[in-house]
Amino acid sequence: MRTEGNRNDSGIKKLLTSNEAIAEAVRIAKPDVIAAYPITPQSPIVERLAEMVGSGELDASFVRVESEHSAMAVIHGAATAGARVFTATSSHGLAYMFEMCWWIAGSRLPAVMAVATRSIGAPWNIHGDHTDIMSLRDTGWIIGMAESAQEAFDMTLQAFAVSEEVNIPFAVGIDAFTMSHTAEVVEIRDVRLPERRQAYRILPGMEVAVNAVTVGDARMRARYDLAVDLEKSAEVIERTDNEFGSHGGLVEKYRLEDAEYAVVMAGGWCGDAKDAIDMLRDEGVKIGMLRLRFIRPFPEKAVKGLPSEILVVDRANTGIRGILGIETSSCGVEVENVVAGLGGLDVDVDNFYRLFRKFVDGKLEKVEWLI
Amino acid sequence: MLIEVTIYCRGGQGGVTTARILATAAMLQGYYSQAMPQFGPERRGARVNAYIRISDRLIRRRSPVKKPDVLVIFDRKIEVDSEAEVLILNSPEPFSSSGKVYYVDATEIAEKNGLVNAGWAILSAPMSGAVARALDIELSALKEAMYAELGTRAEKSFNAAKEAYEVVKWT
Repeated sequence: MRTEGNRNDSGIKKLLTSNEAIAEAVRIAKPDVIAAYPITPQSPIVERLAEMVGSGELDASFVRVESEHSAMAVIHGAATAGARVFTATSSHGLAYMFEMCWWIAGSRLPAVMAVATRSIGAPWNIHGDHTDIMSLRDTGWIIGMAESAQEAFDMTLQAFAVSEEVNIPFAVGIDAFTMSHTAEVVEIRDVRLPERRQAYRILPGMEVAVNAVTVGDARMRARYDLAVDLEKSAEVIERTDNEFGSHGGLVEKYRLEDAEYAVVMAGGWCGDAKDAIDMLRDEGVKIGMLRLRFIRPFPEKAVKGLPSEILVVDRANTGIRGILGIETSSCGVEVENVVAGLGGLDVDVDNFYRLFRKFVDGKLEKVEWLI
Repeated sequence: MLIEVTIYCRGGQGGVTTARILATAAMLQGYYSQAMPQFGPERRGARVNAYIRISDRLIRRRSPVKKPDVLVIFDRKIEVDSEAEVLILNSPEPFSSSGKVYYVDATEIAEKNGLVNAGWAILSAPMSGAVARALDIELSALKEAMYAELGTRAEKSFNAAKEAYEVVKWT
């Protein structure tokens, strides 16, 4: 048995989990400083990077810290001095570094973090959903969500380029286990990134204070500038998309050209959903998917271009509704909203097929939980 | 074409390594492939699954395999209820099944080649050989995959895989 199936591209093919693919991308990005604390299911990313630093394959400082809060504090300090920086975390680790996520975004420092998206306790659960990464959406970070190990690789490299151009930290999300621990064929492209750029640097000997207590409108202006620049980062993401695998920019439009029904989703489980969409297409149902590759900046324009029948499938909730359901409806469209797959609850092709069938048959409630 | 494989084994027998070796070998033959462990805490001796997908098209689904085309059973004491077309068994004899049964004494081959850890036969090498034969994966691709996945430990393992590839029988 032999085929030319995967022989379309020019790079080196490797079988890698999304964790391993991200580590490969970070190796190619040549960071100066990596700081991280292990947590399932992210740990293999920083374990692999620690091996690379240990063997001399990667010339970077790997700072072992006692907590995720310290990991982000080290990243913050190193970035202030002009270092290219990387960290990775999941779930409770992200919760623990949450305070520092605000500081690094507010300080307008470029940084890249991978998040293997996992549920947050209680009840205790190590499996996948999007609860953790969605908590970043108010901080001012750029938030990307990959669907495959290839996209995790490409998006991580793009993250360095975009973050360092717009002076905003960038989180790359991958679904726990179904991506983080699932090995797939990845084309390793040896991308050459621009030199590290950033708005300001503070080096030893410089007499500069930052982030002093603000009075008057300073904080208001800083938050406004960050919000405006975060929106503008969309242009940079779109412009650089073809240098990093051509995945579609802010969104991937899957079979949407003539669609009467649109499903809005993000993350690794979109692959199973696309197979279900193909099954419905074979039955003559005009259905497609708008895959949100980015949660921040939110792809408002793409949402506004959707047909009127919209189903948003969420893997994180706020109150009774899904977070993406609320985000999508804030663009001025009517949506039906399903919350599913929390705590790694498996949603496979057949589950998606039945859900989408119910949607096109008009039998879905406005908000439903798939339990 | 999409082939879905479920491996039934015990924690510590090398089921996940087997999945990775075979997915890499399939990739080297031009296929898209996927290797997936069972998600959750793995314990030595407990029953665990690993999954492989092989296709000539991009594989998008990432949920665990529910209806495998091929079953690989590392320990015949593990009860498996399935209608898979192909079963690949670590056993000196076949057992009755509606599907085609491949069988090889992988434990013996592993022990003979010194693939033992803490008293446990590590079955990833011989079972990879048997599955490669059943799935029509070439021995050269299997060898390259084993060196890619196992590095310097690959030589002994490949000898065991090659033996299993050559002696596996089927009904």
